[in-house]
Amino acid sequence: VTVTGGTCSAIPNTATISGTGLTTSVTVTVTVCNTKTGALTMGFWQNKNGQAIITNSGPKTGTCALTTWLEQYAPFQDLSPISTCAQVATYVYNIIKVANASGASMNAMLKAQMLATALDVYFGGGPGGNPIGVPTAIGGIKIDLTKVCSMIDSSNGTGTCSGTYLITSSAFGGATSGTVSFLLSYAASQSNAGGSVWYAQNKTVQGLAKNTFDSINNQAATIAP
Amino acid sequence: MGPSLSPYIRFFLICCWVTLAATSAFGQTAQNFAISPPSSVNITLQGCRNDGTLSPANFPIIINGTPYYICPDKMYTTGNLGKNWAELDNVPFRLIVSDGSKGSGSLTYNVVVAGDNIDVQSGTQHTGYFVVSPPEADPGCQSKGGPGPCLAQDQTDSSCAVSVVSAGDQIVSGITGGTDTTIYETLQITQNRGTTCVFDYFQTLALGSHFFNGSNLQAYKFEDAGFSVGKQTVPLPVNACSNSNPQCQPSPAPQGLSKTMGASEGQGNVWTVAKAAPTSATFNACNLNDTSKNLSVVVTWTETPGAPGLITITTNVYETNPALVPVTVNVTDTINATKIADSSTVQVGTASASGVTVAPQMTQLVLTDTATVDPSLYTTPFSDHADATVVDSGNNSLGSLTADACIDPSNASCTGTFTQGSGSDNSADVTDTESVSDTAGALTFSVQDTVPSGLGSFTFNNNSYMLPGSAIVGPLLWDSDSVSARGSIQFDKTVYLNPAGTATTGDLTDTATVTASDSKTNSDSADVKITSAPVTKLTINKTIDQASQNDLTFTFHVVPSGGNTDAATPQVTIKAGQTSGSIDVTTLAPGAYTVSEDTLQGWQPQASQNATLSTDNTCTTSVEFDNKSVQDLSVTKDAAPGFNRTYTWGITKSVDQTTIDISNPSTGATFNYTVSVTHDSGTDGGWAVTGNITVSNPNPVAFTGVDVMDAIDNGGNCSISDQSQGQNETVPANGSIQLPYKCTYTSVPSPSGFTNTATATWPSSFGAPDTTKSGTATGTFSGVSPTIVDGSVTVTDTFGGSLGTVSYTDSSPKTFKYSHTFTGDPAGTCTKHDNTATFTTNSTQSTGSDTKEVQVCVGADLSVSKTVAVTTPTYSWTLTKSVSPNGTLEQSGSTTLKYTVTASYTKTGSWTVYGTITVANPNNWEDIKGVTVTDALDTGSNGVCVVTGGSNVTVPKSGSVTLNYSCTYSAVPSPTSGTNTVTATWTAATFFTPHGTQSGTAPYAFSPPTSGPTTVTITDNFNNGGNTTLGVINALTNVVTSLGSGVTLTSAPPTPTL
Repeated sequence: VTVTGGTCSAIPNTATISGTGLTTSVTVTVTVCNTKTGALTMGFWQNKNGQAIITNSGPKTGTCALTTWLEQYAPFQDLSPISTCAQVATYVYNIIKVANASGASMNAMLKAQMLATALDVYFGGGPGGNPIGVPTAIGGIKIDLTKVCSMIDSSNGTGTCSGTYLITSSAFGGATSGTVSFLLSYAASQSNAGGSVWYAQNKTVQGLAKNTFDSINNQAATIAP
Repeated sequence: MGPSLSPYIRFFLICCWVTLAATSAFGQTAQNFAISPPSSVNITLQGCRNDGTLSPANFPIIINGTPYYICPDKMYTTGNLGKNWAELDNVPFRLIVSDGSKGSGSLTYNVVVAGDNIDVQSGTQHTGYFVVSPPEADPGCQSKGGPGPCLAQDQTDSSCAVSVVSAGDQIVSGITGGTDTTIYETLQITQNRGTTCVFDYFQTLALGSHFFNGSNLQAYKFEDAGFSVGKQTVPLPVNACSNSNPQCQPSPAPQGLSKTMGASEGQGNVWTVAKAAPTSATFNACNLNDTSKNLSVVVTWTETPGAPGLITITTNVYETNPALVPVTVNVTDTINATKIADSSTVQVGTASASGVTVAPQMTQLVLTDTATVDPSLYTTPFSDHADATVVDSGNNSLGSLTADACIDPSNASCTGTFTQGSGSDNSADVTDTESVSDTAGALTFSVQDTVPSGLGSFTFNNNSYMLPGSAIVGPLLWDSDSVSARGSIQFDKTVYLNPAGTATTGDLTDTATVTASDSKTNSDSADVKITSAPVTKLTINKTIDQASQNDLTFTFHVVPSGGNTDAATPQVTIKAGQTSGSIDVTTLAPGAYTVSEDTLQGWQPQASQNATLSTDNTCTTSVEFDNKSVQDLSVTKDAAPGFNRTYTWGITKSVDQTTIDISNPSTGATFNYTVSVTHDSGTDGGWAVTGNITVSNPNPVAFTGVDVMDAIDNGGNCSISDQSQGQNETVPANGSIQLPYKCTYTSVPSPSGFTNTATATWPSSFGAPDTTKSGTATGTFSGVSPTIVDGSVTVTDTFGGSLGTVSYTDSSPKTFKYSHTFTGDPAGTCTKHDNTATFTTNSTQSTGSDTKEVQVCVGADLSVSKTVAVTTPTYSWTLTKSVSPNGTLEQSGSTTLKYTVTASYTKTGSWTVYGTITVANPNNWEDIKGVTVTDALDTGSNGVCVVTGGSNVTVPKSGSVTLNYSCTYSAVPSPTSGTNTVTATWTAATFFTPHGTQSGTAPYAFSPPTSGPTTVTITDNFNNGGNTTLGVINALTNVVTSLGSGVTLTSAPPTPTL
């Protein structure tokens, strides 16, 4: 069976026995969830295809609509609120460029992964339309926070699942699942403006949040039914 | 009373006898009374009750110029004769004589008629009746030689004759209470047997009789010489009016003498006026036809030549005669004057007149006396005294009257007038003023005529009053115009009573005045007393159905309706040998009355009667009391002795065997019976005398409250056995009752002879001579044959029917034998048969019986029944399914799912036919033993049956045995349905049953042969894409067929997995 990417479907199967004076049925149901959400990685949003989508997202002059949308999340409030779309593209490019998980904290990596996820939401069926062609609006996909793959990030901005799964609920207020939009909002609430202080600078928690956004961006996140 | 014998002549004779009787009337024996009337003769004395309707115009009756003092029939009464008779009246009486005997020949006997004569009180003597006229037969009857119709309703038979056999009227003293002497005549009457005679006579009331002592003057009738037997009285009321009541009416009305007196001086003539008028007029207020009375008043004026210079004194003397007969008077008058010289009284004039007749019921001038005196020698007072002697036709004195008058201006009691005039009085004018007044305003009068006619004229209310005039109350003025000489005028008047029947009293006053030409006047007045009062008469007629040997006096009570006090208590005496009598009650006021009679012993009570005295019947009516005599009841009886000889009977019964067992009730069981009847030699008893008592009532009224008793003198106790047991019986009028009685004895009567007496007693209120009567009967028990009681019996038997009759003359005992077979008794039980032999005696219907009971036991077959049930196996299924992988799958491409379906069944149970077998014993009198019970299915069945405990079974009487059985199968049953049969077997001869075996069946079926499906189909539906068949499983064969595409059978049944 195959279901729509980013969604779950219950598949029932009923066997019935019938004879004189007898009709009895037994049903078994399997739930199938498709992780192929169409979300794109940080590398995409840094390359020219991604930058072009941002730059052309409009309006052509003045403050870019994306600027205003990103300003709702505290970590991205270091972006000038009157930035044009080109300026936003530059901002994206720079953030992803400095992404790094080493050190006592991983604020830069977390900010870059979260920014990629935010762009997936904006341009994947969100306010920026669906220029990236997702089957399901990404902001509404529900992510299982009890089964988040620990990602191994490559230098080109992509990642692969290590085969180890984490429970990242603690990074999102104890929730076992939540929509992508919810995850963005909650993580932003744990940050100051610009993302320099995040999750009280607890790197473990920052890692749980980073792996959650990372698996979403790499279409490795477990979809919750 | 005929024309040849004047009452006045008779009076003269009686006067002579009065003198004789006063010295020799001590014998108290009626003169020449020889023969008393026989008992068959009834004599009634009646008198004429003057109700005011008698007048000189209608009384006496004049026949051929001779007056007869006889009233109309309706005025005769045995009661009060009323207040309208007057002194010197001849009061009519009548003897009605009726003989009740049969046969031929005549009767001659004597009767005395009499009246109260002289009574002396305080030295003053008054006379009541002083004449008894000779009776005579009806003088009017043309059929008996008279001139016209009979005057009496009860006509006198032509054989009737009466004569006075005493020497005229006789006087006797002391024969009646309160009266000194009695005047009587002894009559001799002759008549044929069975005839009725009416004899009329009168008795004359004496001058001064209204002073007679007592309230009544009595007239008498006696029927023996001693003045005691057959006495009858007829009263006439007496009232002297000594109480000065102006409304009092003296009775009898008295004769009177009156006068007027006048004196004149210096007149040429002296004019005087005088009136003559009736004394009274009476209406009967009960007679509505009595509405007018005619009367006449005469005014006479006189001119007496005067003496110039002298005083002329004139007196007029009048006699008032209230009687219905004329009277004759001799009058002497003297005039006295006072001598001036010595004031002495000196007679100055006298006058007299003899043989002056005063008309009936008139006041009439009988003498005028005139005297002339010199006024220088004589002066007032002037006085006058008149003496009048009433004489009979022989100028014998009947009594005297006096009158006085006086003129004295200084004495108001002197009513005479003294006038002094010029002397120019040669003419005069006479007037007369008349008026009527009464207490009820019911009286008027009119003037019908005058004699001479045309003299003077009448004026009423200043208008001319033309004759005949209309009815007025007055004053009516008559004026003579100028007269110059003596003259008179007669006014014929009529007094009217309107409304008729009004009770009232009044006066018709009339004043005449003569006025001389010198204006000197002289007047005279007349006053006619007018009375209207009811005159009543209630006649009580009494008859009895048979004459008595003694006089019978019945007392009556006349009580006003609604009242309780007698208004009168009259008595009627029916003399011995007579059957009727009557009395008139004349003292009653108009109204309604109840008349009752005191029951006289020996006579039946009479019902009260109502009587009304009113104008409807002119206050005259009668009631009839017809008495029947009462006789004793009579008692008769019969008596029959007798006794009983009673026989006592017995009966016994036996049978050869008492129980027989059989198997066939139609064949039956036969028993042999013997009945034995006995009797004794009899017992004597029941001695009794029986019969009927007859009580007869000869009277026309029923006797109630009659008690009847019966007694016997030889030791028996008697009782009357009707419903009332002889108490308070009613014996119907002119009928009888018959009462059965019986006298019983406790032992043999001794002596054997007896007298049996029945007595009836009744209340004395029936008036019978006695209150008890008895009747007897005699007899004896000797030689009486006994009455055989229960001398024979009839013998009957339940099954033997009528066995016959046994008499006390048959030998004892007497036996009867017979057999009886009982069939049809029900099987399964023992039936008892009672068999009773009974005797019934012929007299008392007494019975005796003896009963034998046998039983017949009939055996019945056992009955077999069973129940059937089956068991079948049950198939039940389970279904399971699994998928791999299962749960929630994360895919990044397509995913393959693998499903496993497992269906399995379970078989529970097996095929069995089973149940219970019941063997029942219907016999309630025996157990059935050694019974074998088997069970089987239809031939060919693959089932095998077994009965648990089915050999040598004992089935108790009226009970049953239940055994279990089971039939089992080693494979599916074949056939699946059929009949299951149980069979019980025993020995019939041992238990008297019709058969030795019985079977019972029950059907069975395995339908359906299984429970639950034995073949199932497995289908599958993937993701709601429609059903697909996975396979079909047969549990009976364990084979799976119809596998679906892609379906793999991984294990075989009973747990196939697909």
